[in-house]
Amino acid sequence: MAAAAGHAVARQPIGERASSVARRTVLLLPALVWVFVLVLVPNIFLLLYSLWQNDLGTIVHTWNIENYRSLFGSSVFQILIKRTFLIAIASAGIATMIGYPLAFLVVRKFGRFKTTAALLILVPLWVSYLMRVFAWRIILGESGVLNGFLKSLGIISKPSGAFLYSTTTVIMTLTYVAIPYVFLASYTALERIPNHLYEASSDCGASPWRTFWSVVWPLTRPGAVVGFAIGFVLAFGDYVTPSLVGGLSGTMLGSIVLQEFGTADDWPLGAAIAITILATGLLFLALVSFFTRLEAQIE
Amino acid sequence: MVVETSRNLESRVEPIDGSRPAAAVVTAVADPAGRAGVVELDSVTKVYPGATEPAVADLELIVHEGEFFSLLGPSGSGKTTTLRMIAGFERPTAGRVRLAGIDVTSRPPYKRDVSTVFQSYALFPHMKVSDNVAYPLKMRGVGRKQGAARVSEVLERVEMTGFEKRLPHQLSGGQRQRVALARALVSRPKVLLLDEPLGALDLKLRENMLLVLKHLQREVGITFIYVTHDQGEALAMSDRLAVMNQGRVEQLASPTTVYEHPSTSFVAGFIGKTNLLQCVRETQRQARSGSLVMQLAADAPATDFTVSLRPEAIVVGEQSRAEANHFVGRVVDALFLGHERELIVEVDGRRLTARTHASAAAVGEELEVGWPTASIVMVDETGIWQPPQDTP
Repeated sequence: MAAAAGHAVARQPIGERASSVARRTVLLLPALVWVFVLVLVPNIFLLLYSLWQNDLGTIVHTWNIENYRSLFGSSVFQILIKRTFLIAIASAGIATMIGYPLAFLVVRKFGRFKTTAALLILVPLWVSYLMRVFAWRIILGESGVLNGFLKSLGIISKPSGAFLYSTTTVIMTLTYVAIPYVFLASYTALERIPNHLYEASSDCGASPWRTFWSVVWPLTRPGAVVGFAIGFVLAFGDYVTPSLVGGLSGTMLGSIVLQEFGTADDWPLGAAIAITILATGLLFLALVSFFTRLEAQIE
Repeated sequence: MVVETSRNLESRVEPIDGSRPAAAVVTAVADPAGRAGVVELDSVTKVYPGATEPAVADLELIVHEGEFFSLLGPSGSGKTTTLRMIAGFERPTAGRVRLAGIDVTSRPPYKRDVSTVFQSYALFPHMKVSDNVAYPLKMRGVGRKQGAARVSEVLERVEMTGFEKRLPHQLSGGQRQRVALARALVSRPKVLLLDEPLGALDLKLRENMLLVLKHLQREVGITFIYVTHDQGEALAMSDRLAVMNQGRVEQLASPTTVYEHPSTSFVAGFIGKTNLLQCVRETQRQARSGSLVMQLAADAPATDFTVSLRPEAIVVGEQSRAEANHFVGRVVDALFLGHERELIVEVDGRRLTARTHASAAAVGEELEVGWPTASIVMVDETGIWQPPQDTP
């Protein structure tokens, strides 16, 4: 009896509970509407389009997976998806190898200037993406900075076109684009490691190198991986960089999505490619977050 | 008055009864038991960048092997900085640090044979308890098999057997503290450094851990250097303790000596409660504080000096008539503390705190008080310790 009564008292009054649920719903509503209208609906449409057919520019509302079948049967698509994947992995990978150590350096060695240093590294994010990619054309183009420099040194006699329009150029540019994101994710993870863990490790007899590999890296790997994944997803769906600095050998999946929705006027096929990109990105993120889960809690 | 440096403490006047042991001298070179100095600080000074005052100033310290040594002081007194210089986390601005006779001043922590127990525990959050404890062994190249035996042995010592597979965040504060202790002990260091190891624990747990620590130190026999701001902890645990204030050692002695014969007004006020009286020399063996004139057991050291009188040294009621210093005062305040009463008695314009269970005197009543001349301890004036203010 007494136990039952105590239980009843411990519970919240029904009315109060209902009102708190109602309040939570109201508070969540704007975010839900936002996600629904701007994220969910367009993607549902994209999915629907990918399952419809194109007949000389008009949409035929028959449902099948013909777009996907022809896509995966096409050798051009196979080459492109492979190249896109490799470019995305390479640029995200190189960006991580630069961004993470950079973040480590800033967090550990810059002392009270670390916020300033971090801001300076993140400044490029304030500049339009298009501008940033275009800057590489100015650097690498035939009348660009690099050619001018090499010519003034007498290393080359006439401007070379070799720096622009290649897979390497695309990787380089996408790496440059991804670095701030990797940096930010790594920085956040590294900042959370309290100094006493470095001290404790050193106190236990570990050199700075061993401290890094047995304490710092295991605790910050998830951050580095998140940065890597952002870099990957950004690169995998990109069309601006390949179209500005890629040339023919730098064409990626994103470029042909643009083509299908634009000049080719085949929205269903474009949608099918877009869905493929989206699914690959999501799958990649899921895999990455699954394999880098961290059970630990940093105090 | 100027705070004394550790150097001129050596040449200071002997206390009134002349009974101060040699250990009270700051640079205690020879240990009575003949033990070697395992940690030696040789005029160590630390000035943090941007700071005007040194955190530690010209510190001379010798800690003997197997000793339970405490660094006691309020926050900002330099005790933690001292510990961090022994561990190697901070480099002294000047002076040398020696461990077992070897100069380690410029050695990084991982090349020193000391272990630290951090106030924040500093367990590696991604490692299981057993891996945390095995970590120092792994770093020192101890084999896996041999290491496992030592890990389970040390976990047993701190009563944490059965928790090997847990992660730090799955443990309570006291359990984490034990694991931290096990990790520090497993490599059998020469010296164990403890930085307010019980600071984050609640009172009951703290008392329990005090006993665990004390027993452990006796069993393993390694030198403990214990940093605390809690005078009770320091008195209960230490063989010797150094009371620090503003980067300097005010007194270095055994707990009894520090309590019974504080050498400075700061020490007298910081360790326990005391009555500090500013006096002038009346005659050679007489001191006057305000209009209160008292007899001394030894010659007054100067024309102006300060004495410390412990509340429990004050005898109240008729028994006080036998004492050389006997007065009649008036009770201005009374606190019931359970096992005794604390009385504030006004004697010749001076307010004295007395502790007694012999008197039932009420506020406003007259009361006879007295104290033996031997209970008057002359101290150097180094200021009075003020407990931290309770600000909202």
